[in-house]
Amino acid sequence: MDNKNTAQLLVLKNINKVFRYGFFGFEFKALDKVNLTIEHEGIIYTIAGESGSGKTTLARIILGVHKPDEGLVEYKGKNIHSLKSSEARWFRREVQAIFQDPYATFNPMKKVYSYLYETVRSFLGFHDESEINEYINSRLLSIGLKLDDVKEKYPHEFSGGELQRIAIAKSLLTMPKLIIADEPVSMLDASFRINILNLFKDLKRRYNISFLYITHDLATAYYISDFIAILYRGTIVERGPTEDILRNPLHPYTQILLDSLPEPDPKKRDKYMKPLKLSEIEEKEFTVQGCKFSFRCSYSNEKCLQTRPPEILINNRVISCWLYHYK
Amino acid sequence: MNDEVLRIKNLSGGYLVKRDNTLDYIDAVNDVNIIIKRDEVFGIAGESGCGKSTLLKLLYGYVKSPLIIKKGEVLLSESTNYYLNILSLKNEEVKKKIWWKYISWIPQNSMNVLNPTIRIKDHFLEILRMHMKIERDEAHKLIVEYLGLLGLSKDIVNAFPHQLSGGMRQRIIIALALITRPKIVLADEPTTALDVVVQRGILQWLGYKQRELKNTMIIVSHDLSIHAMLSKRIGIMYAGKIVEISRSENIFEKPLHPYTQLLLSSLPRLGDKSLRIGITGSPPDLIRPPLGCRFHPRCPYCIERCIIEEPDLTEAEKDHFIACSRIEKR
Repeated sequence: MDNKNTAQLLVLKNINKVFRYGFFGFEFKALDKVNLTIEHEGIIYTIAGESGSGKTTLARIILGVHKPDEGLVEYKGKNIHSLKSSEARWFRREVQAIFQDPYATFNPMKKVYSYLYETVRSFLGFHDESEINEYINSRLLSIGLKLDDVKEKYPHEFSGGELQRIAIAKSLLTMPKLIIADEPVSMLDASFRINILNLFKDLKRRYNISFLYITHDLATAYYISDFIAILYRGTIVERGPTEDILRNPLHPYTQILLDSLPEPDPKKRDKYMKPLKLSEIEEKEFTVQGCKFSFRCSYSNEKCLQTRPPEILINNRVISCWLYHYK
Repeated sequence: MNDEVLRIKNLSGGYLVKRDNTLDYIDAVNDVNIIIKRDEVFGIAGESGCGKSTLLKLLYGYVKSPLIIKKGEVLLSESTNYYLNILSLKNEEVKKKIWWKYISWIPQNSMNVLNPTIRIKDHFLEILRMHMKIERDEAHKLIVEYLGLLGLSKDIVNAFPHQLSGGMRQRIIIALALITRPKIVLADEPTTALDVVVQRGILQWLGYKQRELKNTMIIVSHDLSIHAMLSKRIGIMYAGKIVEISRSENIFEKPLHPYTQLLLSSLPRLGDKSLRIGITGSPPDLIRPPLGCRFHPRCPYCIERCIIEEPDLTEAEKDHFIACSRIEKR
């Protein structure tokens, strides 16, 4: 662990993941040559994608649940899929996860406190009960909760927003450096959602924690993240600073996505209602040789269908689209 | 001509649930009054558990245990000066006389309501035969036309529901709800769980169909952005009550009720990184809703009167109704 201060926080190199199913072994490329880097601590990086884009598969690969078929995930310079057991404990302390449904995170028959207690006992090596409670309380206080309000309660006694806060508190107990948050607010009502997002921003500022924020919601991505990668059918079509990409999208898919975003402003209605032809999501999008978006793209030509576009660096962003080749 | 199509009068309903040998009543819809007009998209917005889906069920006359009606009427205006209270009809009568012909309903998560054992075309044929008296050949043409407009190929009429994706099934449900040209279409979260591009296509089609049929569409969604894109008027619901009703522009540009104001200011918007703040506290338990205004425990402007007195929905400005004691007083 000597190089952990100099190495990049998280690096994904050329990740491929294929799922096979069916009698004839139909192959389904969930992730296709994904590259992404979180340089250091204190960065919120969004992975934005619709259903079927592979964003949850990506989260699972980073957490070590799935192994990529090709490629490498490095956390602070270490390949996380070949960690020794002591390193594995270190990795699980440093990288925590938060999921979409807080009610699924906790066993409904167990008090949520037991999760907090176990985490502290097993990961931090505290043994004295009052010491453990004091520590848990300090963590809860840091995000506006009190141990006394939590201790005797079961998951169903909390609202979704409160329980998600507790899930976050649980992830903070090990003082992580990176939190993988997979759609952490999509089940919450608008009035709670923003509180959780503000909490992420606050944790980044106070403790220098990095987040990998996985979402389909570009408005929240804009609100909290520093960088964004747009995922489409397992490939990153565009990545770079959030401000650049969402304010001035270059990839045709990012453009369509942003144009299709409903906004809480009736003045934008006419633009939104400009007719769009509905097309079918086709299975062949996953198996096409070239650009996955080429079936729907209004700029696509034979080359797009045949050959995968390379990663092209334009200013601060990386874009995969033949439109920008040799420009 | 009378442009009213549906008059909701003092409507209250909720769920009777048994818990630990006591019978609890969940007060999901409380004293709702709305007049809905011909040729409009009326949006009902509110957060989860506010009673918006229950309200829609009551409007459809779909009252099944544990849901009960406490009081009130849902009056369907058939012609000038003739009203029919849907809630006074027997279930069988509602089914025969009202559903599909006058009112159709797109339930929540409706992609799962298709019968898995019959083909897509048979879903359509049955409804068209029963309610429109259209026979096979003509019906087939109509089905293909509707599916085509929704971006579905004509080959899928022979498919079974499980062979289609969620987005495709959702489009089929919407086509079913509209093909009988009902006067009122009730849509409960019609595009939730769909990708934004598909969502946009479906909302555009709903808007287009509504303009063509000049009928009434009542859309329930928690997503205020969808209302901004589609609804002409919006009713904001909180804890079983309608707290504000007005035209879309008013709701988004000069909301009057504190709940609406706070809800809107909690929404992140593209291109705006300024700090947004949520609403403190949680919505009340509707078994024991708070006295007075139901929003008062979370309202930053709460005064003594709000705790004691339940505010009525009153017209604060022209065509802009709100239920808030502080505004009434002005």
